[in-house]
Amino acid sequence: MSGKQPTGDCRRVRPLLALHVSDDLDSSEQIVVTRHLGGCRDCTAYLESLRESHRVLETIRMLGQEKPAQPTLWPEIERQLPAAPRPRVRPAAWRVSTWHLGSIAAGLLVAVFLTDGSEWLRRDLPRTRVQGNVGDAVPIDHSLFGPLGINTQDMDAGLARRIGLPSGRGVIVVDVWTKAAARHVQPLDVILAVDGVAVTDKASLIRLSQAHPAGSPIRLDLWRDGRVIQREIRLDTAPRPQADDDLRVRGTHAWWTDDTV
Amino acid sequence: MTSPDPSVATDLAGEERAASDARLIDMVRRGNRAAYGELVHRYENKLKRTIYRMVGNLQTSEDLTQEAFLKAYDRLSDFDVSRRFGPWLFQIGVNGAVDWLRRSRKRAAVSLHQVRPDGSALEIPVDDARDHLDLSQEVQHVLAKIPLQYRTVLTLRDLEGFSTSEVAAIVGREDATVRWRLGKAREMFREIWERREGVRT
Repeated sequence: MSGKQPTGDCRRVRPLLALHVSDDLDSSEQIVVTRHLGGCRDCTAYLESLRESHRVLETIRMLGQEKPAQPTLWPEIERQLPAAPRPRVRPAAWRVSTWHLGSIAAGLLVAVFLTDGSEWLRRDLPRTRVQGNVGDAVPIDHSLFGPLGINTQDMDAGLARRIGLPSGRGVIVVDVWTKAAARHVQPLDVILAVDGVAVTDKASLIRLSQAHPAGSPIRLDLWRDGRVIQREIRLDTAPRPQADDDLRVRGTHAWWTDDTV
Repeated sequence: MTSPDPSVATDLAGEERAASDARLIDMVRRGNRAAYGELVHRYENKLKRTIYRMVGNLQTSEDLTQEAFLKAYDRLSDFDVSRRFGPWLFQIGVNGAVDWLRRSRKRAAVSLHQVRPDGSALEIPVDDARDHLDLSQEVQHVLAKIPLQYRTVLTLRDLEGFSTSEVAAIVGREDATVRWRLGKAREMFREIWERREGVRT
């Protein structure tokens, strides 16, 4: 390399030359370097010396790749491994975000209920409103619970279309009143069949469930989230509400029909 | 032991051997330890070499490599499979090596800019014994004289073939910073290498 001091242009280009040896320049830098090298022997010589030393590193890299396999560390690593990777821990920021989202969701729910929004949420479900107002504490008559501990409505074509139910048949679960039922059935599930026999309406569901003795299990074909699932539910002899014997309506309406099963 | 063999042929079927890193990670998460053995086999030599360039001691580099794989396994549930496993693993390994150097207060490199307590510049030592060293050892001697932050970038980019953006992810710096350090590191390497050649001839 020449011993001459680099000019101002050279000083600007020299830092780029070390990146030029491996094409680590962007296109605009590449143009600057190429133009400068065309008229500067010193920088061309400097670039060549950089390339020579870089070739040494490239040689080492290739030698490293060709080296025979060394004894593996795996046996020792495996000896110290725990049974399984620890469970995922969400970053603090995500936890905060979830907390905020939860707060927003809770706020929206409160707003919905305070504005009688529950009626809007359920406007597709035909029903008979029999008791309860916002904030009322109304004792529920346990005798209204049927052996399944759920409350249902007949399906109609419009509702079936809205929820994407192909057959358009079945009964939709409006409320779930017992702990036993809540383990298997959710509001807005559609009961398609009992023990393989199609349920066409509430009357057929009542008839099919009453055909089994109390305490015996029955298999329900349910439509949930766009697919059919099966759940086994045991008919209750003395259905109890989910919370306690004095279940009260809190902050919402109790929607009731005379066809609880 | 599930699979001491480097090819992990004993426990992994042919299809699984060819599996991508992401597939292997999924298998590990589902409890297949042999799949992790395959990942170790894929990366251990490369990671060990990188750490050796940083700490300058073979036994320490093996210990730190082992430690990196154990940490990676422990954190595997947090790994985002849309990212590449290699840079993520190397980030753990490089950070472990940097921590070790800090803890031990022992720099493997003698900084080019280091000065003696009396203020005089430190000359680059010339080791006559290097006549019998092979090329790899000679390069290691030169690398050891480059400050750690530059040496790490140079090792990852030029000796292990990571892209500059991957190096940036591994060392936790901006792309521009890595490119600047890479340029400086290559200049340092060239200078020391040529000076060494000049002394020998």
